[in-house]
Amino acid sequence: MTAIVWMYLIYLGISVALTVWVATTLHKNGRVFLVDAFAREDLADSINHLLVIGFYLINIGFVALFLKVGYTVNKAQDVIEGLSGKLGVVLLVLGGMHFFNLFVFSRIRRRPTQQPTPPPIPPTGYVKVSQEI
Amino acid sequence: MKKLHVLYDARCEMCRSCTRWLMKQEQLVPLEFIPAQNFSALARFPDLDRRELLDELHVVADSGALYRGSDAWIICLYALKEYRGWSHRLASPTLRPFAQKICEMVSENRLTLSDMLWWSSDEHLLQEVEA
Repeated sequence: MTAIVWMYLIYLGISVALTVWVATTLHKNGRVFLVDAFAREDLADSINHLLVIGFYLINIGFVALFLKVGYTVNKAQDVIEGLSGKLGVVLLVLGGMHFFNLFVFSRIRRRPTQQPTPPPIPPTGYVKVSQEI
Repeated sequence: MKKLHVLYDARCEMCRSCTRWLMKQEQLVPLEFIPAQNFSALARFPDLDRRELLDELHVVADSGALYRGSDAWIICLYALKEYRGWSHRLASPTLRPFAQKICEMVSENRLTLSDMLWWSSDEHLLQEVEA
């Protein structure tokens, strides 16, 4: 096998492994948020699963599209440089997706906190208010 | 708390812009805006000092609870659906002193700030449209 095929295989292996790792972490730790947000475990589990599927589809799709190297790879140096560049971008995209997921979770979670809550601060004082004239 | 009366300085374009922004937001507690220059409307709050009204923002709840300065801002955010979370954050012991400092600074310099270009007054805009 040529150097470039090795490079592609290593790239795919590491990127898919990273995607699986991030997705598993999200799936495991996001559940508590979702259970809290929806107050129903079955609904939370279902949404958690759907979110992870979306995460996999987008990330693996991106990794696949991003595979091709536009130049010839001959030496080990080319392999390492190419791999590091590709994996760097994949990591940044994974990071971005991760934060996007966190944002979605926190948005979902904010809704139940909007139930009647007392004012956050006590009044400075009290004044007389007469009825509208 | 069923209603909040927001007493603002109508001379200051920045204050008017802020009230316009508040009006556009979805409100969990209805806000009613009363210019501090509107003496007939102020007759409903006989205890309030009219000079102090021009110094800083005042918010009075229907219960008579009074909030001033940065507290008034926090309570306005509390009334808004999208910003209720922020009102709790700003009221926390860490952020509240900063909120107070910033409110004091902005409040003292509001007329200067209003004169700056990006807060051009309604009259000014009207003149520009007519020209």
